[in-house]
Amino acid sequence: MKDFKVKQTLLQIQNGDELARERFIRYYKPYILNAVGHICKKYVTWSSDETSIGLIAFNRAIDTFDSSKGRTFLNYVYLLIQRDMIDYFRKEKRYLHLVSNEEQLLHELNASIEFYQQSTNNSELVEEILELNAKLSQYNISFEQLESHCPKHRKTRMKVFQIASEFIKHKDLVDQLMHKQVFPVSSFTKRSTYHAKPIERHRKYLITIIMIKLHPEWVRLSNFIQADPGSEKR
Amino acid sequence: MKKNINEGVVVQVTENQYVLLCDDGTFKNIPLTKTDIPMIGDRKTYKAKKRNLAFGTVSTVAMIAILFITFLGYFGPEDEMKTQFIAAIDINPSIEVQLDSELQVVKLLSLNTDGQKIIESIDVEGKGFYQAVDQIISQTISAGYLKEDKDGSIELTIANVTNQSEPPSKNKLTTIIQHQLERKNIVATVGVFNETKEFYEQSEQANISMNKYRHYQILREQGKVKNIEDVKEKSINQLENLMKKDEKNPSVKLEENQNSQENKKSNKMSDQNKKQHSEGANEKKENKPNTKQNSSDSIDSHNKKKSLNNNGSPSKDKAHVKPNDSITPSPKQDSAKKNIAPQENSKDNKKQKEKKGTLKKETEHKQTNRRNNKDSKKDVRTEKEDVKKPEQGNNATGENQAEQKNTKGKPSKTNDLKP
Repeated sequence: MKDFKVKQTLLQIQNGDELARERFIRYYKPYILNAVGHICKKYVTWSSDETSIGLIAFNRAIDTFDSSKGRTFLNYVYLLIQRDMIDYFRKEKRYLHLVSNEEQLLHELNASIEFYQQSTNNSELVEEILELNAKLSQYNISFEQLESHCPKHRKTRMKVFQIASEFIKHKDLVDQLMHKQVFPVSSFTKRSTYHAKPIERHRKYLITIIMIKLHPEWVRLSNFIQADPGSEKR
Repeated sequence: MKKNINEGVVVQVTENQYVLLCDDGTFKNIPLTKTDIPMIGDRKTYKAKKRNLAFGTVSTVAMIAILFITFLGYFGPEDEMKTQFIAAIDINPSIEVQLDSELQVVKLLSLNTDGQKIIESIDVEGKGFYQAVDQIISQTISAGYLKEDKDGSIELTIANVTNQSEPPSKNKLTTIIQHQLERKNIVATVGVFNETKEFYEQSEQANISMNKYRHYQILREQGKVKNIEDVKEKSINQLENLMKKDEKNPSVKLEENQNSQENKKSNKMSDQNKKQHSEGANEKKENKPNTKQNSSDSIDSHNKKKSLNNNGSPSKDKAHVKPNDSITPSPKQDSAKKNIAPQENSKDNKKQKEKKGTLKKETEHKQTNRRNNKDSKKDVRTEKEDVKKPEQGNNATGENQAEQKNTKGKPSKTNDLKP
């Protein structure tokens, strides 16, 4: 979701659109889970206490986010979740790194600024990944499945990239893919020189590549699927 | 190596792994470590192959090691471990030692409860046989089976199972045992024998040591022992005493025929022994029981003579004596140790010559001469012992003289009575 879109939805939610809030939360679920897990330094599920605290913090972030303060939304969410988690740990007496003196506080401040700068760079990438994840879930594709559908050899990978760029040229086929959530293998092979076998074999990976290619606004993700110039020369 | 480094961005984190979108556009599932949960969008590098390689080398080395060990286990030492000889050592502790072709101890087995105690206290597997014998003897002494104030006896039998290589030297074994005994101030007779595989198998079936099985055979022939269990827990010394005891109360009451039969058998036995044991020392021990028996036989024969003389019929005399003639080899054997029987005969002759009594006596004299002649012709082995006579004769002279006196008395009386 691009910045302006986020702002739009947030305004909608703050004006009292509960359905939009629900949709928004569902969209960011993987991020909440990941952030909570990262802060707790352990894998968390939806049933754990920490996740619900993270969810409540996220809900508060929706209400209190102010884009004029110069933060990205995800960054703000992470900050709120982190604070609430620390409070929770203190309550539970599990968090042993209590701030005892000013020196430690100052050190933490520096670290947090550093972390902030790093995460501002990342937040756009995270947005892109979340968006891709949302798109792929329509096709019942999850990232962990993709390893087995990835072509291992560079040559085959290049071929899959070529197939993808060929495919997005046919607008009707893309529409078919978007609406039916099925890859139109036969109609595509009839129109192109490619065979059905490599398409079938790498179908899930191919759909992922097509999704990325269909969204040129995902600048960072697009970098990953560009055939690197070094490999082309070889 | 550079090829195997996965560098990319975390796109998803699940319970066991995180998914990395690598820079070349591929996706990689990477296992999670317990301490680190990466954020979505974090950059990560993962050196997959390096870890796999280390693991691979370890596993291949392990595999090779396992293969090697199993191969060794199957084919390696099997040939060397084959038992070539079986040696049975008896004092009372009965111990069986299995030896390979190099005379290394392969296995120690106990054949009775006392033997078990000895085996538990020593560890000689893999050592040389002579060393093992040395240890067993010393352990037996320290365990109190052999005492300074008592005469003991040690017997050692070696059976060649495969008939392939030379058996251990008897002389060396005897000297080793004697040496050990001398050190501990213990008097014991030592016997070393060789046996065949068949003999070992027989004794094994009876579940008894070869030495005791030999004694058992003799005792059974004599009718003194019926059950093999009676022999099992007795020491060699006890067994020998048992034989002696029975001979001290000679079976005079038994009928002549029985006697002669027994004697024949015992002769056969002694023949076997002869063949197996060529050494004088061994024979000495082995034949002891026989000698006793034979000496008693000779006494019997005297008694018979008496009775015959009383009857006064030379023809009858001949007929009765004949069965004894066949026994005569055994008195000769005795002579190897005690030197009794032949001298006895000669003494008898002298007396008879001196007295120069009746014609009957002369006929008796002729008979005895004849007997002697027959002996020399019949028995080859007696010749051997005759050669050894002088050596041992010195030792036994005292006894002989005493016995001679006894024998002198008896015939003279008969002579007196006759006329």
